[in-house]
Amino acid sequence: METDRQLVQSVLGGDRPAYARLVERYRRAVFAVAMKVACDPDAANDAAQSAFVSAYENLGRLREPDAFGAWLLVIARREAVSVVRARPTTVPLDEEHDRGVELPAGESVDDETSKAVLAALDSLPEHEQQVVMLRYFDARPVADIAAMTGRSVGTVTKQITRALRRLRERLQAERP
Amino acid sequence: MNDRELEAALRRLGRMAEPPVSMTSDVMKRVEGASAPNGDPTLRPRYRIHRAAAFFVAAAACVGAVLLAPHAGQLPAPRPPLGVLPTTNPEVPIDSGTTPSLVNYRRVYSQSPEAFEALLQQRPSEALAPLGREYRAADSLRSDFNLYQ
Repeated sequence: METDRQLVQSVLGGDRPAYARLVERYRRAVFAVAMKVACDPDAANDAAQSAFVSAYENLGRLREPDAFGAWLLVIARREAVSVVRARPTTVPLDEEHDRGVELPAGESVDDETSKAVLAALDSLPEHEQQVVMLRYFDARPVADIAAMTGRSVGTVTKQITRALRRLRERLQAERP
Repeated sequence: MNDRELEAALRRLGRMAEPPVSMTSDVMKRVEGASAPNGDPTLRPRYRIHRAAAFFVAAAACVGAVLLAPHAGQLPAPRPPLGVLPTTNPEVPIDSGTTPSLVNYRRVYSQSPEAFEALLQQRPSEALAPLGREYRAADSLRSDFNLYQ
């Protein structure tokens, strides 16, 4: 499996199709971040696409190609905030509203647990958000995540363990 | 909430937040029209060095142009002559109307012994006679030259 670093360097070397592989790799994580902020699938899709395009244009400024995923999530959050602010309707940025998250299939998630987990996820450091989303949103094995990010399996396992502990602590602290 | 419950909640969220299937192709269409990414980050230091070098060359050219502009078209001032060295035997007028010095006598003698004799005959003996004594200047100088020759 190609690492993020290899794909980034390929793109910078002129291999544009290599960027499609990066998009495929991170589209769920980026969409999830955008959805958390925008709470609307169309807005989240716009924000996610803008995030990928912005990351492509500024790829040469990424000092550490191994940090592409974490860097991309930061861009995705920023793009989602911009999209929400540009919307004419006044929708609060946080997820504490009655509408909940509406999904394309017509399902909506109103349960407090999902909202709380989303909020707690947002409080994690960028690199821990990245591995958690790749592991649970993308259902990727730990070995694949290690290969993608250029880290060891042990490091990724520790990051996931630490992230889950932080999420639990945050959820316990938020519980009334 | 334990780890299993938390992991289940995360997976559920992942399933719920499924992006459109066409997202990758839509992104790549937008990327086609976007500007190319910046160059290789490893080349940036060299690019900065090249840019800095070009800046300094341009600055040096501007400074040189400013300094040289007032003097443009002007030829450098000619050097003054080093001086005319006297010839070995410059011509000295035999009769300058003044009492000739020893150097003059030597010059005249070097020109021609006959001119020297003529100069000696022309000079009054009183000009060379110390303390009023009669003095045969010609004989004295002639003997002097014989000593110094």
